Amino acid sequence: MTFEDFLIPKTLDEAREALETLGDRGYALAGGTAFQYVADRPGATAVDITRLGLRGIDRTADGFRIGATTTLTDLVRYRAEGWVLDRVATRIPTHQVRNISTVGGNISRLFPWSDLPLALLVLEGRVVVSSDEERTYEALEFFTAQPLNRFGPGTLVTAVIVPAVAPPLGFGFKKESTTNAAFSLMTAAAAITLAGDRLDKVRLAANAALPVPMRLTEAEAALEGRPADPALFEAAIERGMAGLEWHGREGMSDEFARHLAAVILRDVLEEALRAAKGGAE
Amino acid sequence: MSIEKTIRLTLNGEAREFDVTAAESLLDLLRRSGLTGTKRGCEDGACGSCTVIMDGLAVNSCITFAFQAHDREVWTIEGIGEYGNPHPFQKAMVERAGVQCGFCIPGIVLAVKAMLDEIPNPSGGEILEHLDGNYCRCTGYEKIEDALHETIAETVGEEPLWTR
Ligand SMILES: Cc1cc2nc3c(=O)[nH]c(=O)nc-3n(C[C@H](O)[C@H](O)[C@H](O)COP(=O)(O)OP(=O)(O)OC[C@H]3O[C@@H](n4cnc5c(N)ncnc54)[C@H](O)[C@@H]3O)c2cc1C
Ligand code: FES
Ligand code: FES
Repeated sequence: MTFEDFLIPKTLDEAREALETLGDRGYALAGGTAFQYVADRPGATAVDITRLGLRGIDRTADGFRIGATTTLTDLVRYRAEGWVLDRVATRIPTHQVRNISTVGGNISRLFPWSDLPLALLVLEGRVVVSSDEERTYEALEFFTAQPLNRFGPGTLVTAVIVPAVAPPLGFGFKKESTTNAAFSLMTAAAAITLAGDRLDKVRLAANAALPVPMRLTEAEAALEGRPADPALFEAAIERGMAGLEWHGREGMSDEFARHLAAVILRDVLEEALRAAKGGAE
Repeated sequence: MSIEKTIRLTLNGEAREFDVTAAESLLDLLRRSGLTGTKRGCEDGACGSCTVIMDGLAVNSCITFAFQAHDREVWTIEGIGEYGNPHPFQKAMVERAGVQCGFCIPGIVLAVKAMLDEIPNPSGGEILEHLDGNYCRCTGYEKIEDALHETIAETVGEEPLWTR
């Protein structure tokens, strides 16, 4: 993206007002790391949103509220009981990118390699959006379409809310890439809530080998209410994967992408189950 | 047509003002200002050869717009060490032959400096986390690791937590 002008507002109202006035020409800019993938538009103006006081992580009664301009490195460094986003953020390359790119930027414009949306989908996180009024969206609803395309000018993501993760809730995340710094070939996340020795709630999502982050609801339905037995995972994954188009990236065939997806989906379910039982994550 | 505006920043310890366009990267601004130690490699945020330190953190100047540095503190390789008084890691890199063609080295020195300023005695995991954004096509990293190990041992005055 070749910007023609930039603004550096000091308050959320100022930023929103500028974006509203600019209309289609205005772009919120947080870390700015994604604009190399955005097509040029005449008159494009960047509105720097990193000085609006939207950075930081707060512990709430049942989880965490993360300001939109909190960086990925902030997620890596944060420590608290029940905090799992450090495990996702560490796998987003590279250190230099993590130092400047933000939670809001990672979820507002989706790419096939976007990682945080997967975690929000399986943890049933929420996204706080500010326009004329503040509205909170369930992750599932927020990610049904490219978020940037559904909100009008002047609308900003201001925070993300995730639950604390502790047994009987367990989380699993895995990403496969050719090198540590490469884009993902296949990423998956799972969250399992146990009720005794049964799978009470199962959330499973994938990206990279799919065009956008997606929940595999058929697989979830096939497992919920069943015994907490990893032997059931393979058939459920097969059901969840059916009907979706799995794409190989970086020279990988579609057939191999499908195979890799099945393996990684099983890995994250097993990891989430171990964690839900209180085992090592 | 890109509009020019003035930004202020502290560059290598000195208060400076620059007229920049919205399209200009921090890398372009630094290089046209004579600070050519900051290298242009992949220009898409993958290789780390353009690394500078902004507000204490290593960032890729190629995918950072110049205006993002407004009111911030930026350090480039020209501000780190001098002939006769190098940064301990620069000294160790020379002594341990950590440099071959040298293209990646300014970026690596800045990434290491930012890490050691924050964590003087990092663990192996912390080192991987801090240096996963710097490629070196020549050395195979071993001599760079030797130099880093020696730097940590010398600067903290005890055995590094990171065992090789
Ligand atoms: C080499 C490289 C590899 C990468 N690999 C991965 C990877 O494997 N996985 C992964 O998840 N990410 C990866 N990323 C990062 C990712 O692609 C994005 O670049 C990054 O997450 C965007 O964050 P940002 O703060 O820089 O956003 P920006 O670039 O500033 O903005 C991104 C988009 O979101 C909009 N936006 C930003 N903040 C808000 C807000 N608060 N409200 C509304 N809209 C907003 C902007 O207008 C823009 O359209 C990689 C990046 C690079 C450079
Ligand atoms: S030139 Fe900036 S990361 Fe490669
Ligand atoms: S010394 Fe040549 S790329 Fe590192």
